[in-house]
Amino acid sequence: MWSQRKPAPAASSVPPSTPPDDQAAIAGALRGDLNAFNDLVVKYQRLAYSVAYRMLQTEDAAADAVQESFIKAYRALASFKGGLFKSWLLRIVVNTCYDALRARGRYVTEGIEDEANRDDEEGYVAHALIDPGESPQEYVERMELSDWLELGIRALPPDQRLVLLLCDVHGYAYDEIAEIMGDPMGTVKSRLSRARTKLRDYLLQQPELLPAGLRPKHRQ
Amino acid sequence: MNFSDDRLISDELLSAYLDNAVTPQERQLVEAAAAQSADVAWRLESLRQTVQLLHALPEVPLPRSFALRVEQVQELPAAGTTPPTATLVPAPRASVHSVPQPSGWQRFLAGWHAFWDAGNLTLRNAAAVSLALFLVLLIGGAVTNVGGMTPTGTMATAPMSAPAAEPEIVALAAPPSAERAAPAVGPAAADGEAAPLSPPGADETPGDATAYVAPEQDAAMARMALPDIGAPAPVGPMAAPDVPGLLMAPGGLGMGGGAEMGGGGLGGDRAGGAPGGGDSSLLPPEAYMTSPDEAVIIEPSPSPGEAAPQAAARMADAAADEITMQESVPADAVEAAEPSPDVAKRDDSVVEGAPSTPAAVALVPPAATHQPTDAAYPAVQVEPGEPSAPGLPLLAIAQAGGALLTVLFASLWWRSRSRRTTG
Repeated sequence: MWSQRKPAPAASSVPPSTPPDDQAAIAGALRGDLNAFNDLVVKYQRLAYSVAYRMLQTEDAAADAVQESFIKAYRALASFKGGLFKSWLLRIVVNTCYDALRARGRYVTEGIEDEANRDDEEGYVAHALIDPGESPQEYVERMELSDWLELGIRALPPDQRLVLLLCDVHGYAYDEIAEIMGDPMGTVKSRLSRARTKLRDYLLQQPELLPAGLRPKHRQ
Repeated sequence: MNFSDDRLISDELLSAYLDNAVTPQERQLVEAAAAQSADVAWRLESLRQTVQLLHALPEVPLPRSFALRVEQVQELPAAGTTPPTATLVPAPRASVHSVPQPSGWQRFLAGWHAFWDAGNLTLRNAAAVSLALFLVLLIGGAVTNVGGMTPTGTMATAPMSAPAAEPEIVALAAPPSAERAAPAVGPAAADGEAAPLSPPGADETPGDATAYVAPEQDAAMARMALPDIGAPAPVGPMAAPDVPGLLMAPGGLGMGGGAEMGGGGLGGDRAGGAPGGGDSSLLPPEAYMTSPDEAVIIEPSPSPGEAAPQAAARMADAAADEITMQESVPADAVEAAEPSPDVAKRDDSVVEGAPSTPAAVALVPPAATHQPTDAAYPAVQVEPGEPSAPGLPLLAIAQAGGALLTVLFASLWWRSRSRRTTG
């Protein structure tokens, strides 16, 4: 029922490079072909929106940030000198999200309790499509855990939240995350471990929703 | 493992271990610590489970397509940036890539279809058909029962005599002041709790209303301004002493006239002592009086100008009430016909099925200022509707069968969904 992915490697041994189809699209966009650039938009808009949504926590703000990010990317396309276009694009999205958070006045380290108590009426909790093989009870339990997990992610400070999303949700490597965020790798590892620990402790507030392996056992 | 060793195993180290971002020495340290310390092992496993939950996090659906339009890129100031060397080629809108994004309603429908399309469709359809059959039988049975209960009798033939009743009503409404001041509470009221009550707008002097009425009665009683306590009055001209099986609300429908009890109601199955005061000959038969322990409110006579319509309305109500219980007239029709909403507050067994004003008024014969006789009160035969006796058992059996089939097919379909999951 749950999709399982192997954890992303800590550091990629081979420098990432833009796939050939992306390179062709970039070249066409640089020639003025808007359709070519929209090929890139279609390819990476889901990733961009997913990151923006979990960063900004509202649909409208995330949509605005993503649209603005693609426009910025189109304008700055000539400055893309190589590497992984996805990471380059995501950096624009992250910066746009940070700008939005600053403008909102919430680019501060918020306590996990404050986030948990906030009534997010605009928020949308992503739900997987109904699995026809699961019973309604299982569906409800899965949605409850998913919702609880989303709340836990939202409760993290923005920096830790971003690292957690990029690494554990979207599978970026440490160095890619460092490039996207513009921080040293050691900072990325530290933030990631704190984010995971905080999220685990947050989830433990509802142990009945958790898998058996995550529930606290007798600790010496 | 001792405490000092555990402190070497930080959460950051465990997190890096999960991502294979540790040196070989660190890996050995972590693995040894996890093997020797349950705490370290739990911390490692809990972090691993947390990461796995994040891997399985559902994707956030796109609200719309973010493909750029020409107008979006043409209006952008290109300060500090290197614009594309070639001129923009506006692409036709049809060729712009757009991902149709499902709306919330479409997502719901998609999930809805996915849920119902699982399992054995034949069983699902059979369950749906049996459920529909069951509902049809259920509704048909209900309609049959409602239509089967129709009143019969001579009610409709009674003349509309509300205007004609006015003289009598006026007569009833002219109380001698002395009699009015008399404590019109009979033994019943005397036995009961005495709490003077006066209807709204009643022209009363303190102490005129002397009887305590049970809460379920007071609304009804309040409308029945007894014209005179002890004055000769036809008690319940609508009373049908001979009507069997009439069911009355507690406290009855105190009709006016000398019945200090508010007419004592026409409770056919309630025996009440005659209320004190007034000419006993004016009182309805004992069987139709309220019981001694039931007090009724006694209102002072209304003003002459108000007496006629009020009395007519009350008498119409009483007539409606007595021709009731075993009929199946919808309650809402009763309420609509009632001149006062208070009628609805009475016992449902009384109110239900009581056609009110037009027919009830029609039943009001010319009031007689004497003891009612059979001639004055046309016998009202209220016959319960003929139930569809022969069809009921079959209908019930069919309904039960439909319900069972629905449950059976639904259960089998649900099992088929589960099997396809595990199989």
